[in-house]
Amino acid sequence: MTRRNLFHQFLGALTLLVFLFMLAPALVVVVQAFNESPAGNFPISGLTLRWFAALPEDPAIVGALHTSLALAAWSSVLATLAGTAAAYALARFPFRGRDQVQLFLTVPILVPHIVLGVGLLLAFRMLGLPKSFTLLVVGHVAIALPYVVLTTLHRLQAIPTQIEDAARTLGANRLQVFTAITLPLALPAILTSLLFAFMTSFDEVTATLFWLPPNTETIPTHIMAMLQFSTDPKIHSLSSLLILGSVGVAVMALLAARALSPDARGSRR
Amino acid sequence: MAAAASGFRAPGDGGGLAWSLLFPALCCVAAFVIVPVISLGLYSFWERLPTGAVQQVFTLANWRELFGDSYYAGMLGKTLKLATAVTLVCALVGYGPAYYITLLPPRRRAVLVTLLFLPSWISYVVRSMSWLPILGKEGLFNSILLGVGLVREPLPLLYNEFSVVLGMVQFLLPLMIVNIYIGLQAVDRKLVDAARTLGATDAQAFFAVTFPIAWPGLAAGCLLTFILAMGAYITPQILGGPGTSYYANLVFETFVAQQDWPLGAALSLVIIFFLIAGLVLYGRLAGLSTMFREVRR
Repeated sequence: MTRRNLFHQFLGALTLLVFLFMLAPALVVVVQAFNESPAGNFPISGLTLRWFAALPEDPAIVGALHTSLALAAWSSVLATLAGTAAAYALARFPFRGRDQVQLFLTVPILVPHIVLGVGLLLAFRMLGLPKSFTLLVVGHVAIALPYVVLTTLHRLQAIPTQIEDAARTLGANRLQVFTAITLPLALPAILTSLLFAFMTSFDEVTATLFWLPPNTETIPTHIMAMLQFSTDPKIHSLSSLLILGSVGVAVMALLAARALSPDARGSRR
Repeated sequence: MAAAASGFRAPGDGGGLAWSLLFPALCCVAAFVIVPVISLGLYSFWERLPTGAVQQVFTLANWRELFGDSYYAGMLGKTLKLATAVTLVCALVGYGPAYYITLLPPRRRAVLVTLLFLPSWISYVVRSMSWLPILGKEGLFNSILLGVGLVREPLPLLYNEFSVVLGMVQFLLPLMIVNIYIGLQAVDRKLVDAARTLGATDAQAFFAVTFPIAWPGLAAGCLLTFILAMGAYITPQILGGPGTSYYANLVFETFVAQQDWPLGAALSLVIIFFLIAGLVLYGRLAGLSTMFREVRR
């Protein structure tokens, strides 16, 4: 028994280290954002908010932020609409070829973004279409779609079908059942998908580098440019705002899912 | 809609509605994933003129160059070695924590699973660059090591193979742990208890019951990690040095710097080939339906 306890303690310590390894480096960036020295070195020479104050004064960063926000908004809404419809069909209709369709819709998760990037660019080139904001949006929809399908599908499959059957027995048609029963129950997952699709688009960089129209940048491609062509001290303040934003959105997604889930409203079994 | 509502129970009913709901998503994958891969295929057989223009004339020149020039084989070999190393490290380091999470009481388990997904919300570029102030000459590690007098000169921790592997492991480890965890969820605790009752030690029960049942998760994690490591462009770009450029960097250079689209297309298709081979192997060993299963908190 003690040997087992010792082993579990070892596993616990290993788990702690692994989680620190995955998450702690982000904290170092946040610390560096307040460092007075522009080079991002240790030990910290003094604290300042200067690098944060300088962000809104940089027109390149403001422009990139506009592009990123518009792109993430468009692509996450489109991916969520198409993905939720597909997930509903996969979860509720026993049609022939269902498994193959599900695989087809989710397997793009495995395709490295560099391949998606060059492939879509060549397809557009073959059709004679120029690089444009539209290319960015459709590309980002394709990248986010599988995550939306999976998250929503898993949630829909977890909803007991008896509830829907009961509503139907009481005379509701399919549309009524969907809007009154299924949609409210699946809403936490749909909302999580929407937020995750938004962040996925906002953070995407590899494929985006191929799709950007001339003189356009997104926040992540601007950070790449800052890393490669300059030693801009604003890189840490910009990155730490990105980290705080991402964590904020993740927490928001979690809280929203909790607040909306039927379990939270007191029907916990 | 009326027909769907009246005959709801009949098997196969509502097929029309199902397909119309699927239509936008299917079009999206077909147009923006499948058609692009087909265009890569076409371009890889087209001719590139000395001027750089692409002529839609069939040629094997690009593939001949890819297979004939040992530079490409060397680059591919180096990248496969890197992807293998990253996959092995992730599997070895990730199995323990994934297993530990399944042992926890529900509340703490939910917290750790949530934390496990946190990195995937944070920008990949930022996660990669976060190693710069840690590993640099005047970074956190070196300033600590110099401060306590363990080393006299700062260690070269950055812009080499070490920092690239570290960055990739940090990027891919959460995915590996999630997949191993999904696999472990399929194990019924009662089976393990039965094995213990029948006289097996903890280790015997683990290797005879838990591991074989949970292994599709590990396999899915390895497939995902390997393919994504093979196609990783950002990590070597940020954390690598002059000698640590990998296959995806080569693809990028071929497209952007050399503007050789047909050769770049052929190079990209090699990644797709490895992806398909990996999927076929996974389908044979574990069954494709075990991929992308739900994570329960």
